[in-house]
Amino acid sequence: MIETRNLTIKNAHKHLTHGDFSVAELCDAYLHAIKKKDKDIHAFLEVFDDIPAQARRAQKMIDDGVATELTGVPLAVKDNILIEGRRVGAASKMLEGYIAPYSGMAIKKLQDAGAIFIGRTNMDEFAMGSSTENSAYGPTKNPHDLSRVPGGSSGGSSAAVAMGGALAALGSDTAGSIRQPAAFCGCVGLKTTYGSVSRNGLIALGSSLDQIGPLTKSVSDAEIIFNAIRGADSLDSTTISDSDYAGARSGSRPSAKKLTIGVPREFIIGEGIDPDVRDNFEEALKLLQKFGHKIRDIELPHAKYSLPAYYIMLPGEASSNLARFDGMKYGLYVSGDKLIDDYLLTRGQGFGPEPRRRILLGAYVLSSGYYDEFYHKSQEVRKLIAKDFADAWENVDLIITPTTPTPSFKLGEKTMNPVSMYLADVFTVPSNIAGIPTITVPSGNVMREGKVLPLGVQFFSPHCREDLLFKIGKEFLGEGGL
Amino acid sequence: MIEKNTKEIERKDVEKLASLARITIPENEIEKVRQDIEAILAYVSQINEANDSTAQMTGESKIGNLYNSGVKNVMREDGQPHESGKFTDALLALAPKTEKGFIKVKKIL
Repeated sequence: MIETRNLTIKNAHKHLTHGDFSVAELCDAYLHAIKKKDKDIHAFLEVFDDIPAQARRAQKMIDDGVATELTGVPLAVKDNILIEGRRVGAASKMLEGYIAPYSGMAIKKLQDAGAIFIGRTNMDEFAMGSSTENSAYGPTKNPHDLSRVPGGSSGGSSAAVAMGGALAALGSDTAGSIRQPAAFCGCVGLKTTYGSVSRNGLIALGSSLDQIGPLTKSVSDAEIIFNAIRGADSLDSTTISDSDYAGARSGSRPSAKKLTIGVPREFIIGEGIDPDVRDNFEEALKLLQKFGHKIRDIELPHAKYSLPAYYIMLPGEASSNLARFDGMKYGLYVSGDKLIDDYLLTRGQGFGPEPRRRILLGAYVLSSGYYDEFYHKSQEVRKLIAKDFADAWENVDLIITPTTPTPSFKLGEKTMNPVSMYLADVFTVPSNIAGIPTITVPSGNVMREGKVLPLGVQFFSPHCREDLLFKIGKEFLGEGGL
Repeated sequence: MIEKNTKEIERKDVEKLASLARITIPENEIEKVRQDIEAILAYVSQINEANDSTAQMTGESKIGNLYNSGVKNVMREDGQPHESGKFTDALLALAPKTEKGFIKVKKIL
C-alpha cells in the first residue's frame, strides 16, 4: 500500500508517470486512509462512488502521454463548490438533497487537467465559522488531537489533507477560511488575489471577499493548483484578465534576490496572542534573516479595524446572498398556510444559528436608519486598510504575521460566544479586506496536553504577486531556495 | 472591547429583523439572538474610532482600485447568451413544485 501521509502532488506525478503505481492504486491508498480514519475525524460529508471511472480516465491520459501534473491526483472539494451531477450543500440543511446543475470554473479546469475528485468535505454552514462546529452535519475533528477543532470554515478540507485522505483540497477563503484551518492542521493554504480565480460555481458568502484556493502539503503543490485554476472567466465579471494580472505584477515594486519583509508589530501584539505563538513567530523571523532577508518593522495603522469592519460588510453581503434560499427554486421547502409562511418556515428551519445571526445582523446594518453608521462606515474603513497595505508596499516586498493568535482550540470552547469565535480570524481577515494574496505555511509546533499542535505563519504580498509568495514559502519550508 | 456606542437591541427589534429577513425564530431562542447581536454590534462599533478624513480618496492606484486589484466594470451587449430552454429542464428538476414548465408557488393575494 502507498503511504499517503507525506506524498505531494509533485512526487505522486513522478511515480504515476514512471509507472511506479497506477492511478487506481493511488486512489485506493487514499480511500483506505479515509476508511480507517474518517469515522473519528469526519472530514468528508461524502466520498464519491465513481472513483474507479475517474481513475480510468486519468490513467488513459497518462498512458497517452497527455498527463498534466494534476492527472490522477485525488483532490477533496469543499462542500460549497459545485460539481455537475453531484450533491453539494454548503453543509446546510437548506440545501438538503440539492444536486449541482453545473460545474464551477475551478472544477472544470481541474477536470480538464485530469484531477480526481475523491469527495466533498465538511465545513461551517455557508462558510460561516472558524471551527466547522457550525456544520449542520456535525463537526470535523483535528487529526492532530481529536478533542480539538480543525479550524474553519474549510476544516473538512484541511483535516482531509492532514490525515492523508486527499493529496490536496479546494477551500474558499472569505476572512481566513483556508488559512486558519490550514494552520491548525499543519497544511499550506493559499488565499488568492481577489479576481484571480473565478467564483463561478462557488456558493456565495461575501461576494466582494470570497476566493477559491488550495490547501496542500507543500508550497509547490499550492502553486500547481493555483496555476491550474486561475484566469479570467466571462461567468465571473470580477476576474482579472491575463494582461491586467501581468500589468499589476510589473507595476509593483521590483524585487531583489533578497527581500524586505515587513512586520506589523503593533497590530500583532495589540490583538492578544498566545506566548508560544509569539515565540514561534520570532523563530520564523530569525530563519528568514538567516536566509539573508531583511526584517523591518512597519505600521498598518488601520489593520486592527479589519475584523470589526468585516463583521459589518460580511453580514450585509451574506444577508443579500442568502435571500435566494426561499424554498421556491431549489433546496429545502417547508409548506405553511400561505406563501409568506412558506418563506418564514423554510428559512427558519433551513438555516442554522450562525447564518440566522448573520442574516439578521445584515438586515440591521443595511437598514435605512443604520446604513451610514455601519455599512457605509465599514466601506470607508475598508479603503483605509487597503491604503495601509498600498503604503507598506512602497517599503517592503512582503508582510509576515502569525496565521492565528493561538493553536487549535477545544471543541465547544467558543461556540457559545460568537465574538470570541470571530477573533480566530483576526490576522487573516485583512487580506480579504484588501483583496491581496496571502499564503500560510507550517512554522513548527507547540505541545498542549501531551499533543503536538501545528502553527503557521502567513506571508502577504501585493495584488497578483503570488509568485513572491511561492518563492518565499518554498524557501521557508526548504523546498528549494529563491 | 469598546463599550461606548453600544446599541441596545430589544426583543421587538429581533422580531422585526426576523420578519424582514423572512426567518422564523423559535420563541425560546429570541433572547440569545438578541444578546448575540448586541454583543456583535458593540464589538463592531469600534470602527467609529477610525478617522476616515482621508477616506474620501478615490481608491485608485496604478493597479486600479486599491482593494480589488484592477477589477473593472465589464459590459456586454444585450443578446441571447444561450439558446432558449437549454437549462430549463435541469433547473426545474431542482424546484420543489412545478407545473407545465413553471415553478409553482402558493397564491400571493
